[in-house]
Amino acid sequence: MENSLQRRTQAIVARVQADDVISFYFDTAAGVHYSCIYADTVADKNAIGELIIKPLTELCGREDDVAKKLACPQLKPCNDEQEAVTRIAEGCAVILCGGDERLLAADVKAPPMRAVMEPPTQVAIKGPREGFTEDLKTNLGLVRKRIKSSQLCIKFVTAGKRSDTAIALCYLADVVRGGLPEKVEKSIVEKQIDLVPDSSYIAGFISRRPKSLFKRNATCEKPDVFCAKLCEGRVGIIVDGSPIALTVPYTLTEDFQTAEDYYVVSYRATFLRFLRVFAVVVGILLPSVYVCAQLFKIQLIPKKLLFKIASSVEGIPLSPSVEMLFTLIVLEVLNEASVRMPKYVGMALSVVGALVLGDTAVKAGIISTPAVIIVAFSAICLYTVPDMVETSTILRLLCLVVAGSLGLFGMLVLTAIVIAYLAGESDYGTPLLSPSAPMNFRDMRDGMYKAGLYSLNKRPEVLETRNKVRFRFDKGRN
Amino acid sequence: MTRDAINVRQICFILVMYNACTKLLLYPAFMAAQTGNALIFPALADLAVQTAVVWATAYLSARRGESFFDMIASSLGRVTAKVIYAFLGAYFLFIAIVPLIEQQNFIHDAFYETVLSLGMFLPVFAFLFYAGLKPLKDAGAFADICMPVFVVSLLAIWAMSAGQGNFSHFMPVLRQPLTVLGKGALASLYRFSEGAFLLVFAGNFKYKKGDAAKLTLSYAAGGLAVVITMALFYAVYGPLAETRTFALVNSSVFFAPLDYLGRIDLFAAYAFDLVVLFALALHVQIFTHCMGKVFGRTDINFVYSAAASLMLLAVVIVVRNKYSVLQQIAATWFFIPVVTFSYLLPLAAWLLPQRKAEPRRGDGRHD
Amino acid sequence: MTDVKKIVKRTGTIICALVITGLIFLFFTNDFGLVDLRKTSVVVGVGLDRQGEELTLTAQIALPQAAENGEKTQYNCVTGKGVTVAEALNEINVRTGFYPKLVFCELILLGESVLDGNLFATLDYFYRNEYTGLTPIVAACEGSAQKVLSAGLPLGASATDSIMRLLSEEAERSANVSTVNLKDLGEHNFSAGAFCYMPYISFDKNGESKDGGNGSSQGQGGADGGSGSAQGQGGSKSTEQGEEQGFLCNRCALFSGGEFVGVLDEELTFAFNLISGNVRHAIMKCGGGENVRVVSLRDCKGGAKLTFVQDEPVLKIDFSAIIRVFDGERSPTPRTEADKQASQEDIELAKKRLSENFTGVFNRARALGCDLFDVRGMLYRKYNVRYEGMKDYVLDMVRTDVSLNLRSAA
Repeated sequence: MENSLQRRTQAIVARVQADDVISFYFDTAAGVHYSCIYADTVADKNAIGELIIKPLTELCGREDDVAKKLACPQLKPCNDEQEAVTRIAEGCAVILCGGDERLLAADVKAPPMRAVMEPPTQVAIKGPREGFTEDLKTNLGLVRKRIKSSQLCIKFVTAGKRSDTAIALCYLADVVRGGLPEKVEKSIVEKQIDLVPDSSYIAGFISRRPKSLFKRNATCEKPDVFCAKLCEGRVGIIVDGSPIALTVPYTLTEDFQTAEDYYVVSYRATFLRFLRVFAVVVGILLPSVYVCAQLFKIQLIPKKLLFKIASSVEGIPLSPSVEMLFTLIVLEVLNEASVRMPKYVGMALSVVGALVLGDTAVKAGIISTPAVIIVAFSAICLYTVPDMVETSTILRLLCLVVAGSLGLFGMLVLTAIVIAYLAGESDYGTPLLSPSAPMNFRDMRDGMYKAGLYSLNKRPEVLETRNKVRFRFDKGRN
Repeated sequence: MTRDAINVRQICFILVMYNACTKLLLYPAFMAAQTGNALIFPALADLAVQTAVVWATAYLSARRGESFFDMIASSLGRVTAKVIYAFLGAYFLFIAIVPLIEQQNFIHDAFYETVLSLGMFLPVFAFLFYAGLKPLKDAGAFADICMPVFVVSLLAIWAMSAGQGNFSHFMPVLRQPLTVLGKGALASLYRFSEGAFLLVFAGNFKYKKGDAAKLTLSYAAGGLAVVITMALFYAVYGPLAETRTFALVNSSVFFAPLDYLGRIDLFAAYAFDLVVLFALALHVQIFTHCMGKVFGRTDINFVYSAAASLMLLAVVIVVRNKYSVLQQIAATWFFIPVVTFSYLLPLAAWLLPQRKAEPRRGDGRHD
Repeated sequence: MTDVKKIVKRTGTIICALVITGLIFLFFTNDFGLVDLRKTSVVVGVGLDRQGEELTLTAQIALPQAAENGEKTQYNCVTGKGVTVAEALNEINVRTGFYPKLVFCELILLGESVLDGNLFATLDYFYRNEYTGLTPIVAACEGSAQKVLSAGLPLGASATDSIMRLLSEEAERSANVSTVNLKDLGEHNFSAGAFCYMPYISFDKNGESKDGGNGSSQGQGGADGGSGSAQGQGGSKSTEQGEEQGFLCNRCALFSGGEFVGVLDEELTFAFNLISGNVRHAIMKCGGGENVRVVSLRDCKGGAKLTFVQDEPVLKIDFSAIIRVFDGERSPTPRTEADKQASQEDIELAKKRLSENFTGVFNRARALGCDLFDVRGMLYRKYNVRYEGMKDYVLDMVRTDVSLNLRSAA
C-alpha cells in the first residue's frame, strides 16, 4: 500500500476528530490502491459497497477517470482536505486513489430520519395527511410530488457558522413578486449564528421586527398547505432538521385558515373562519370582561346570571381580578406541565389538575365556579387557532391586567393600541392585516370568509404577484 | 408611495365614520335641548353647508393634484405656507377638544357605574401619543379596520332602538320658529368641520374621475347616519330626550331581550367608542403631519405627538367638571374658528393661483 | 440623530416599564372606591312613602346565596329616609354598608301618601340619574308601599316578583293591566296632554289577607333596623300566622300635570287596557241576570284618535276583535266547533258593554280632569293650528264616537 495514500487518509481522519469516522483501504483487480472515508452514523454502508467498492474492485486496468466508472449519481471532486472533511460530516464517502491527488466525494447520505407521518399540530379530517419530516430532501420530495412545474425554483442556502444547516428557498419563479426571494435570501445569509437547530431561528432572521409579540411568518407542517402558499406567490423556506416550514410574506389572516377549509364546502369553511375569529376574540377578552363586569359594570351581566355569580363569589377571599389571574396562572402551569410530562404521567396530571385541584379549590372557596368555567372556556377558545396561541395567551394576560386596573375603557384603549400597531405593520411590503387593512375586497374572498373555488381564480393582490391569474374557467361550463 | 399616501376609499371611510362618531356622543341630546322635536333640521342645514365645502375641497384637490401646503407655498411662499399649516395643526387639536371631553363624560356613563377619577381616562392620551407617531397612510389603514366596526355597531344600535321609537314625537313637523332652528344650526355649526380634513389629504391621494362625488357622498352619508341616530333617539325619548345625555347607550335600553341577555347593547356602544378613539387620534396625526411640514422634519414626530397629547391632557384637566361651561362657550364662540378653517380656508384655496411648474417630487402626491 | 434615537428608545423602554409596573400595582391594589359586585346590594324593587316632608324609601334587595344545586336568592327589605330619594338611598348605604344599586331595579311602587304631592318631584332622582335608566315599571299602591313590598307571598320569591308577574307582558296582552315605565310616564306627562296613568295595586281581599298587624311589624323592622330582613321576617311570621297575601292589579291610577286625580275602577280599567294596550286575547263577561256570557276577544285592535266634524272635536274610539263564547250559564255544552261561535246576540251584548265602558272611561277621566286619551296631545300634533285656541277647553267640548267591529270566530 502506498505510504502517501495512507498518510493522506490518516490526515483527513485526524482533521475530522470524530470516532464515528471510518476509513478503509482496498485494491482494484489491477492492483491500484484506494481508500474510503465516511462517517458511520450518517452514510449508507450498502450504498458504499454497491456504488463505490464493487465497481472499483472489478476494475482491471488503471483508469484515469475513476468517476466515470462509479455508478454513484452525485460524485463531486473536493478541492482540498477541509472540503473533504465537510463532505464527510454531511454523510458523503470520500474516495482517495493511490498515485492520484484528487479527492472524490460520493453522496451516500443516510441520516437517521423518521417516516412521513401526519403532523400532530395540523391534523386534518379531510385532505392529505402527509406531513413534513426533519429531512430536507424528503420534504423537498413531498413538495416536488405536488408541484411538478419547471417554474418551481429551489434555492439552497446555508446558515449557521458551525451547523452549516441547509435551507431551501422554494418559490414559483413566474408567480412570486420580483426581488422577494432575493430579499429573503439576503436576510437569512447575512445573519451569523453558530447553530440553526430549527426553522424558528430562521423565522427570527427573516422578520423585520424579531422582538414583536406578533410573528411575521406563517408556519406549516403540511406539504399541501406549503405548496398552496407557493402557488399564491409566497416564498417557502424549508430548513434541514425541522419539520416546520415557513412562508413569507405573512398576513394575520393565514392563522385563521386551515387546510381543511379548502376541502369542505365554502359555507362550512366561512362559518368555521368566523367561528375561529369569534373564539380567539372571546378567548382573549372573556376573562377580562368578566372581571370588568364584576368590578365596574354589573349591567353587562343578565340579572339572573348575576345572582348566580354573586352567590358563587360570596366568601371568596381574592378580589375578582386576582382570582382570575390566579386561575389563569394555574391553567398555564397545568398546560405547561402536561406538555412537558411524559404521556403516562400527563394523564395523571390532567386528573390531578382538573379534578383534584380545580374541584377542591372551588369547594374550599378559594376560587369561584364561574372563574373556572371562564378560564376553561377561554383556553379552549384560544386553541381553535393553535398558530396564535403564543400571542393570544400573552394578550389575554395583558388584557386581564389592564381590565383589573383600568377597567373596560382601559381594555378598549389597549385594543385600539393593538389595532394601531398591527394596522401599521408590514413585512416584505405586505401589510400584516391585509386584506382587512388596507381593505381589499377581492382578497377577502379567501380572507375572513372563504368563497367558492371559482371565485378564487386570482392570486391575492396584496402579494403583488407577477402572474395574477390562478386559473381560468369558462363561466358557461358547469 | 409616500408615508402620507392615502387611498380615496380610506378618505371616504374617514368622512363617513369620523364625521358620524364624533357627533353621536352628546350632539343628539344637545340638539334636543336646543330645538326640541325639530332637532334634525338644524343638523341637516349644517350638514348641507359642510357637504358643499367638502365637495369644493375635493374638487379642488382633483384639479390641483398637489398638497395644500404646496398650493400655498407656490403662490404665497413657503413661510406663509408654514404659518398657515401651524395654525391648521393647532386648529385640528382645537376641534378635538369637544369630542374628547364628551368622550370623557361618555366613558363615565357607559363604561363604569360610579364617578371615577381622571386617572381612568389617562390611557387615552397614551393611545393618542402612539397613534400620533403613525403617518397619514396608517390613518387610512385605521379607517379600513374601523369601518366594519362602525357599521355593525351603529346598525346594532339602530336595530335595537328602532322598535322602541314613537315617531309621533316629531309631530307637528317644524313647530319651532325659524329663529330657534337658526340658532340651533349656528350653535351646532362648530361640529361640522370636516372640510378641513380634505385640505390635509389633498395631494396625498391619487385622484380618479368621480372621486370628488364619492367623497362628497361619503360625507353626506356620515351626516345622514347622525341624523338617523338623532331621529331614533328622539323617537324613543320624545320630550325626555334632553335629559338622557348619551344617545348611544340610552336609545336601545328598552329592547326587550336585554332583560334576559344583559346590556349587550353596551358592547355595540363600546365598539362605537373604539371608532371615536381613532377619530380623535386622526386629529393628533394631522397635527403631527402639519408640524412635520412646518419644521420640515418628520424624524421627531414623537415630539409633535407628545406635545399634542400633553396639550389635550392639559385642556381636559382644566375643563373637566365644567362641561356645561365648555358647551356654552362652544355653542357661542367655536363657530368662529370653525368657519375660518373649515369653511373659509377651503374656499380660499380656490383663489390660490395654480402653479405652472410640475409638482416637486416627494411632497406628498404618490403617482 | 442616532444619539437622539437611542435616548428616545431608552426613554420609551423606561416609560413602558413604569407603565407596566404601575398597571400591575393598580391591579393588585385596585380599589378606587369602586362599587363592585361584593360591595353592592342589587335592588330589584323600590317602594316610596311619604310622611310629611320626609320620604321613606323601601328597597327590596336580592341576596343571592349559594345552594346545593345552584343558587337561591333571598330578598330583604331595607328602608332609608330622607327628603329626597337620593338622601334616602344614601341613608341605606350609611346604615348597611352596601351601596344600593338601582341598575336592576324593575319596579317603583308609590304608596298612597306619595300620590298626594307632585309625582315628578318625587321621581326626579330617577330622571336625573344616568346610571338607572328609565326602564323600571311604575305602579301606585293602596296603603303603604313599604307594607306591600314587605308582604308575605303565596306566589313568587318576593313582592317585587309577584307584582312584576301581575304587570308582565302576558298580563298586558290579556288586557288585565296597562303597564308604564318611567319613560312612558315622563313622555305622557311632558306631552301637551300632561297626563299619566299607572297600575294601581291593592291587596287581594278575597284571600282574607289584609292584616295591619303584620304590615306594621314588618314596617317597624324596616324602619328601625334599616337593614332588617323585613321580608324574611315578615315571610316567616306570615307563614306562622297564615297571613300570606296576594295582590290585585286591576285598577288604574290617573294623574294630571303630575298630580294624582283618582282611580279607574276594574271595569273601566279593563276597557282602557283594551284600547291602549297591545291586547292579544282578553276575557270579558257581558250580559246580565240569567243571560251572562263570558266571551274571549282575540286579535284586538283599539285606538282613539281626534277628528273634527264640522269644527267640533270628536274623539273617535275604534275597537275591533274576534269574539268567541267561552262559557255561559245557559249555553249548551259545545259539541261542535260551531257551538263555540258567538251568536249575534252575544255580539250585541259585548258591543253594548264595550261601548258603555269606552265612553265611561273617557267620561270618568274627563270628570277627574285627566286627559287620559291625550286629546290635547293629538290636537297639538295633528291640528297644531287649532291648538293654541282650543287647548284649554278641548277636553270639555270633545264628544266621543265609539266604533266597534266585533266579528264571530268563523
